Formats: sequence, structure tokens, C-alpha cells
Amino acid sequence: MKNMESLRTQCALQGALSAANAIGGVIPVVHSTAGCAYQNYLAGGLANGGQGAGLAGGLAVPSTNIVEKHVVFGGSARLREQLKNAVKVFEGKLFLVLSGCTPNLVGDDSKAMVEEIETQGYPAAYVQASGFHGSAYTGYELAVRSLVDFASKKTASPLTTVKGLINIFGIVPGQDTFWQGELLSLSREFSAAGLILNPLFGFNQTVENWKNIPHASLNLSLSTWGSGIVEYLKEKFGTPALKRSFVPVGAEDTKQLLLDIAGKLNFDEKQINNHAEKKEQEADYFISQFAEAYFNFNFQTDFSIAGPLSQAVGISRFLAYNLGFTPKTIIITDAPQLKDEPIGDILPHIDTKVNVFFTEDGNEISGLLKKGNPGLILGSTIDRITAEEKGAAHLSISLPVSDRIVLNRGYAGYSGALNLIEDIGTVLLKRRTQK
Amino acid sequence: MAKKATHIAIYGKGGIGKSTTTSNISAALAVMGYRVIQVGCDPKSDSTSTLRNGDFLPTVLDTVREQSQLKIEDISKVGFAGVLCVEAGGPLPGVGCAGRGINSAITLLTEMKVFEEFKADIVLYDVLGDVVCGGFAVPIRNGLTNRIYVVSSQDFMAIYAANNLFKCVAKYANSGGALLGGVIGNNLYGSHAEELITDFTQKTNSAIIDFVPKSLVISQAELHGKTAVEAYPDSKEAQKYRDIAKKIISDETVTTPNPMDGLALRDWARGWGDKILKERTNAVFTI
Repeated sequence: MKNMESLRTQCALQGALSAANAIGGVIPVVHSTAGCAYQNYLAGGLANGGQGAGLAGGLAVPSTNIVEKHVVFGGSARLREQLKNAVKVFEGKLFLVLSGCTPNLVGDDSKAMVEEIETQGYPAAYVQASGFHGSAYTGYELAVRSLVDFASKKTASPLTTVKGLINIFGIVPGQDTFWQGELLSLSREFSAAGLILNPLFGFNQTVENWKNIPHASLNLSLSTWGSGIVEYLKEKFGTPALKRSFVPVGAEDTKQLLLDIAGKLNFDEKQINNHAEKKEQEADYFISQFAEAYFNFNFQTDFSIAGPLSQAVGISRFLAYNLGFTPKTIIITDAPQLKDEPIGDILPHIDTKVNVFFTEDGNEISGLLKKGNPGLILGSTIDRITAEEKGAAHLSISLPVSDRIVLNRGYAGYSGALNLIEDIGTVLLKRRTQK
Repeated sequence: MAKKATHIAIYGKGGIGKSTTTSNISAALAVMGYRVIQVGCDPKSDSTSTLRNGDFLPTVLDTVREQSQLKIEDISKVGFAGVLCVEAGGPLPGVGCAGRGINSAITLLTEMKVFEEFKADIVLYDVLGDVVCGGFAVPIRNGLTNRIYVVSSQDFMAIYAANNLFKCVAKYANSGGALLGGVIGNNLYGSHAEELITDFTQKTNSAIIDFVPKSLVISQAELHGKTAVEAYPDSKEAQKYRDIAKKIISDETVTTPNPMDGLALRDWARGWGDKILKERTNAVFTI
């Protein structure tokens, strides 16, 4: 296997931990060495738009911090002790044990410890989230499955289906910097179109929302990383699934997604079209306000982008189709397994040749971004150096994001596209004034 | 300057007689006047029991779990003829990591300067079973031991385990790992045992140290909680162990073994199987 440097994806434990932290009432209990929980504070928090705190997040994550004797003799007893402490300190609706590399290598029986604390009346579940098992995206998937299993046991029966209720998966907290903004934005769009989105993560989301999963009439996945989950739910509850590989940005893709959902649910398309029309008018109004600046400042530019597939494709499509920007290079950083899959239809009807690469390697990404001298580079904060070298404008849109604070900002949907115009416009303007 | 002890690791398939062999060699060396430490590297912690009449000996890992400041006397016992007995210990079956345990125990013994303070001439590590993961290879790696010896009977599974150990030795041979002193044939029976093991060593660039036949004397001594060297010093078995001990302490010749790959080993074993069967069949017809 090739050696890689400056990776942008955290490990599975971090993905699971970020997922746990993004649900109200879930108290993660990390069963691993001391640095593991701290890593999430750094990469999933400080280098992720300044997020990651919370009741039992940031530096307050309960952790067993195991040492050598727990490796040699097993660390189950240490986990038992930590769980006993955690339930005294936190009033949790779910204590989610996340076991890391070492306990899983030496075969600690985390499950038994979880069952033990459950018999004492505390809600608990566990995720075997070995860092070596995969990336943060894998950790997210593992955590979601465990959360689904836990919450669905407590779902009120009968399992009636609520028309228009949609669970959404594939937008990954702690790894997708704009996860909260995307979920809020899509919730608003769905609600205005007469649908009900169950975002499951972020503001106002608790274990209660997870209990509603079986009532949904559709499970929606907006990235590769939600595909397995919606299939799992299809098998478990018989809920239909809709899989899309990217988060929609702007009018066309958002409308198309809503229409696809309507088709799947036999939902009245008229309501979708009415909503879309209103939102398009709103977007057109603001974009026309910006038209003068667009031409005056000569904003139209070519661009290269590095980020996870769901984000890179959604943003590229909006920039290419709606703003008339020219895509040069698209680097997909999260899904090397898609390397051999045809992705030619990501950006159809584009005249220029778009180079698509799949790599996580920092050095390789830097080299690819430099090629073609794009006027705008969208990537991580690491890529700012490359952009500065080449005199390109730069905007951090993918992890690590350590040069901007991102709270509820997102690029999904109609309003998200306006955010994107503002952010890109600002960095282009800044570069212009610096020159 | 403190003298440097010779460190020897003894490996072999589980149940092949490593502890018996190691303890008898320790006993023989001690009788010859050497200062000997035997470190049992097995969570079962019964390597040194025949050197100390089966007395209770707390293991290094159990002791370190209970107390932070360790002294040599907390984790060792002086056994027959002054052999210092140490058991690394390890987790309960199915829990924790025994490989890491061995690593951790040996590091601790080194940090405590047990070998220097005891003024050991030779340290024998009796390492459990097959080398199933990196942890069990610790005594081979990083120059911890001067050379290793493999105990094997003529049974295919014992040879198979020896061949695996050779792979491990060969892997670390170029990075400061211990090389192979040779093979000690043990618990041998039947007419082809010595010939078969000799053939294996010739095929794999390894040496024969000696052959120890299956023996009631050794078993009897063990049932009394003693080595043959202690219980029956005048027996031919005790003499055999003294010969092996002398060879181990005085002959520093080592080789980098050239293990067979899976298919070659299978074909080699089949060849021997066919040969033995043929001779026995002929013998029956002759009768």
C-alpha cells in the first residue's frame, strides 16, 4: 500500500465519536488509549470549523484511557469502572461505548460491560469502532447502525408509516464541516415542500428522533456513506431507500432531489413545483442583485476542488452550471473505492475536459491542484498554501478547516447556494484587492 | 563492568517438552557451576516448576498488577542448584494480550537489572508454543537473545511449528534478530525419528544439537516435581542433558534457517510418510 501524508479523513473511532456527540442526550464513553478522545477534540473540533464541544464532547468525553496492564490483562474491568463513573456525572439518554483499536485487538468484552450497566437501569449500547477498521465515514456508519438498533427497540408500536417522513443519512458530523448547516437547510426546504425531514443529528435532535426512524416512509442517502445504512433499514423495517451520491446545491439539483423523492413516495409534485418556483424566484432575486458585482469584478473563473465526493460534486455542479465557472480538477478525497466506477455523468454537458482524481495523499493533492493554475481552489485549509503559491483564491470547504468558524452555515439547497456565492465572492474579491 | 549474560530462547510446539528440556538444561548448567536464570514466558506459568519442587511463585505480571515497586525477590525464587526461576505470567485464557504480556515482562526484568544483579552467566527463556503473532517473537527480535533453539519431536505438527519458527528467525535475521543455534530432538520414538529430524535440518540449513529419546526416567522425575538432572543424576538422560547444556554454553555457532514453503513442507512430509509406510509394509510381509 502506498504511503500517504497529510490525510484529511479521521479514523473510525473519530467518526463514531462525532456522531455520538451530535445527538442530544447521547453520552459517548470512549474505551481506548488517552490520545483517542483528544484526537477528536483536535481534528473533529478545532480543525473542523471550531466545532466539537458540547455536554460530553471536546475535552469532556468520558474515556477509559487504558494503559499497558489493561492491554496485557484485558481492560473490561476498567470500562466497567468508567461506565459507573459516567452514569454518576452525566444524565444521559444513552451511554454509547466506543471501543478503539487496542481493546478490540485484545478482545475486551465491551458488550458484556454494556449489558451489565443496562441491567442497572441505564440505557447503553456499544460500537466496535477500531480506528484501523476504516475512516471516520466507516465509524459514522457503525455508530448509526448501533444507534438504530438501540432506538428501534424503544420505538412505539405499531410501526405505522408517517407519510412524507424522511430519514436522512450520509452527511457525516465531524467529518463534513458543514453537516449542521446542510441538515438545517435541507430540513427547511423539505418542510416548505410539504415533507418532514428527520435529520437525526444536530440542533434539537435527540434519541427521541432516532426512535422515529421505523415510522419513516423513505430513507434518503446523500453520499456513499449512507448507502449501506439505508439498505440496512430497508432490510430491517422494509422502508424504501433513495440513494444519491451528492448533496444538492442550488435550484436545479435541489428541485430534482425533491421531485425524485415525490416520485418515490407518490407525493403530489405540484407542491414541490410550487415550492421550487418560490425558492427559485428568491434565489434569482439575490443572484440578480449580485450580477453587477459579478461582471464588474470579473468573478467568472476556473476552479479546482478537493473534498469528499458528496460535497465536491454538489458544489462543482452549482459552480459550473449556475455561475458559469470552469471546473479544471476534481479531487475526491473520501472514496478511493469508487476509483474504478464511471463518474462521467457527474458533470455532463461541460465543454472543457474535467480531470477527476481519487486520492487522499496530501502531496499528490497539492500537485494536482497546482496543475492548470486555477483561479480558485476549494479544498481544506492545508490547500491554502498551494493556493497562495499559485496566486489563486482559496476557500476551505473540507476537513481540516481551521481558518474559519462554521456553526450553522451550509451550502445545500437554495439558501446554501447563496451562502456559497457569498463565500466564494468574498475570497475572490479578497484576492483581487491583494493583487 | 558487569559481565554480560548469554541469553538463549527455547521455542517449539506446545506440549513438545520445552519446559522439561529447558529446566533440565538449566539444572545441568547450574550443576556445572554457571549462574543461571530461567524465565518462563507462558501465561500458564509452569515452566520452572520442576526446578523449585512445584512451590508457589508469583508471576511478574501478576505482581506488577498489584504493586508498583518491584524487588527481584518478589518475582523470583532460587531453585535447584541456585537457578533463579522467574515466570512472566500473563492474562487469563481468552482475555487480554499474552504476546504483549511477554514483551512487557521482559522489559520490566531488563529495567530492574535482574540479569546484572544476579550476575547471571546465562538466561534461558522458555517461550510458549507457536509464534502466532509479533508479541511472541519478542525474544527473537531486537537482539534480546543471542541465539535460539527449537525443540521438536518427529511428529509432523512439531516439525511444522519448527518450520514456522524458522520463518520468524529468517524474517528478523537481517535486522539484529537472534539466529538459530539448532534443533533439539525430544520425546523421540521409533526407528526413523533421528533420521527424519536430521533430514529436516539439512533441508532448512539448521543444525542438530542432540536427540533425547522418549524416557520413563524423565517422566518419573517430572511426576516428582524434579528435573532428571536432579532426581536421577546418574541416569543416561541426565548425562544427555549435561551434554546438551555443554554444547549450548560453549558452541556459539548459529545459522540463518532457510524454511520450506507450505507446499514443499507438505511434499517433504508425504515423502517421509510413504517411506515409513513402505518399510513397515515390507517388514510385515517379511514376517
